[in-house]
Amino acid sequence: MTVRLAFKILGSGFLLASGALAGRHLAKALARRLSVLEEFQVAMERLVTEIRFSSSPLHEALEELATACRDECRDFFLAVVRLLRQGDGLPAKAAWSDALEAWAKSSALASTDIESIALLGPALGSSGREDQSKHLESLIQRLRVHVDEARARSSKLGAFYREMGLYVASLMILLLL
Amino acid sequence: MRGNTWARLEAEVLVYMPQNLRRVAQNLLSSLPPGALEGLSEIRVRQGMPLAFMCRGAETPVPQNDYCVSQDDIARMFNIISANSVHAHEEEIRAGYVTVKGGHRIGMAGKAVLDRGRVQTLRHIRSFNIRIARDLPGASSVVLPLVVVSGRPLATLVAGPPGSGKTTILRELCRQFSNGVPELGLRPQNVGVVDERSEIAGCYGGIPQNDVGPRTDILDACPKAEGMMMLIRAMGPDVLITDEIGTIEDAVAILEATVAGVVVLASAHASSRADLSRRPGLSRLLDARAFGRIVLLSGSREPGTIEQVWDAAGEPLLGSIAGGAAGDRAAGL
Repeated sequence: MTVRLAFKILGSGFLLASGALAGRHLAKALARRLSVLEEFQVAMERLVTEIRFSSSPLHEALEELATACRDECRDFFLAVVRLLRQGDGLPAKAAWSDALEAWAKSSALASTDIESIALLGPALGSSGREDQSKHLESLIQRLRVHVDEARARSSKLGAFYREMGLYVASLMILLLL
Repeated sequence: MRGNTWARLEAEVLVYMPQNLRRVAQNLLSSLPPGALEGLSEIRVRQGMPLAFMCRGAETPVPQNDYCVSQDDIARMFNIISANSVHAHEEEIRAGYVTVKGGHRIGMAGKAVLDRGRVQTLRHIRSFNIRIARDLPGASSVVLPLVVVSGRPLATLVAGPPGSGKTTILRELCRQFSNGVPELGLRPQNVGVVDERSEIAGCYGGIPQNDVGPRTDILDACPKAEGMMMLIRAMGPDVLITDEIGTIEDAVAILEATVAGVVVLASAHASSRADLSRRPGLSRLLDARAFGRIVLLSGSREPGTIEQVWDAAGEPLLGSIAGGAAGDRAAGL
């Protein structure tokens, strides 16, 4: 009898912990997307400065951005730089889209975010400072919309997912008892 | 010698070609007749045409030169030259060339995009001309004693038609003035170079690719008139060097520099002294006797050939002499 009760308590604890973890994981994914989007937006603002005021070559500018970024964004910029350096004249748009395709497989970003970032590729590095700035500003505008949407989702659904995890676990415990 | 030239070509010139074109160029260059590689001055890359190699002013025939350059070769080559960064070479592309590592210059031709009658950029590029730069110690040995008098440099205008060796002579004078020439009593000078077209120092990434001397400050890719004033104010040069002057603005800046006590060395396109007088900016300088020496180079014989030297009053100082040893060596840019 005591052993059975102990198993029930242990099982309930396990379910509660699992539910809480699942909820946290979902909430974390939302927060992660927001953080990556914000970081990418800041990086693009910096890229505008590098191009407009320093006239830095693309690979140097992206390397600079990589040093100031973390994890996902850094790896993406470094992947573009690697392709540009090894590409035997590969156009920047191909380097951008290839690196982005690889990033999309493991990224916290939503497919809409990836689509917006992909739009920069065809223009990248192929025109003068003013034109490059316009294309980058346009991406930054789109990223702002994504950031706002990701922030709203994170604050609204983040708490919901965390609580839902516990509620669902509690409900399962009640049903199983 | 051939080994050094080959290594330099590989590292500084062929590296701007995509791999398949580079292989073709390597094969063709290795079949050039003896001595031709050392005299190689240009490689011309045209879409739909075989590669062409210019040695000492003439195209060198190459056996089995049957590979025609493709559109993809041209596109990839442009991406390599511009490092996929048109914005970083905007002014150079607008001017029709990019200076690359080693001081070599890659000219390009295609469709000009205009804005209010001014070239904004080039599109649909179809051909490149890789002009191979060389350091040519001794190219100014004939000119030097004429422009240094009593241990002091004289303001000098080096004039000549395209390809006559004006820039090479200026670069060499720059190095000599910067180092000083004890045998002529010339102490080392602080030299300022306004290198609007990156031809004198051949800066790449801010680093001069040509030896312009240890006391030389370079203002790269800067408009001449503005650059001269900037250097005078900021760096206090003894000697100021700039390339291809001709506008009224250039003349005003040079006169300002002269008033400030700076010795100016400049070059200008002209085939004769009369040509110089016909250009408003230059005639103003000649009238003001801004140059103590005017050196006219001839393109009719070998590059670096001195046709005539005049003093400030327009008196000829010598008859026609050949650049001698300098001639061959001045065949670069």
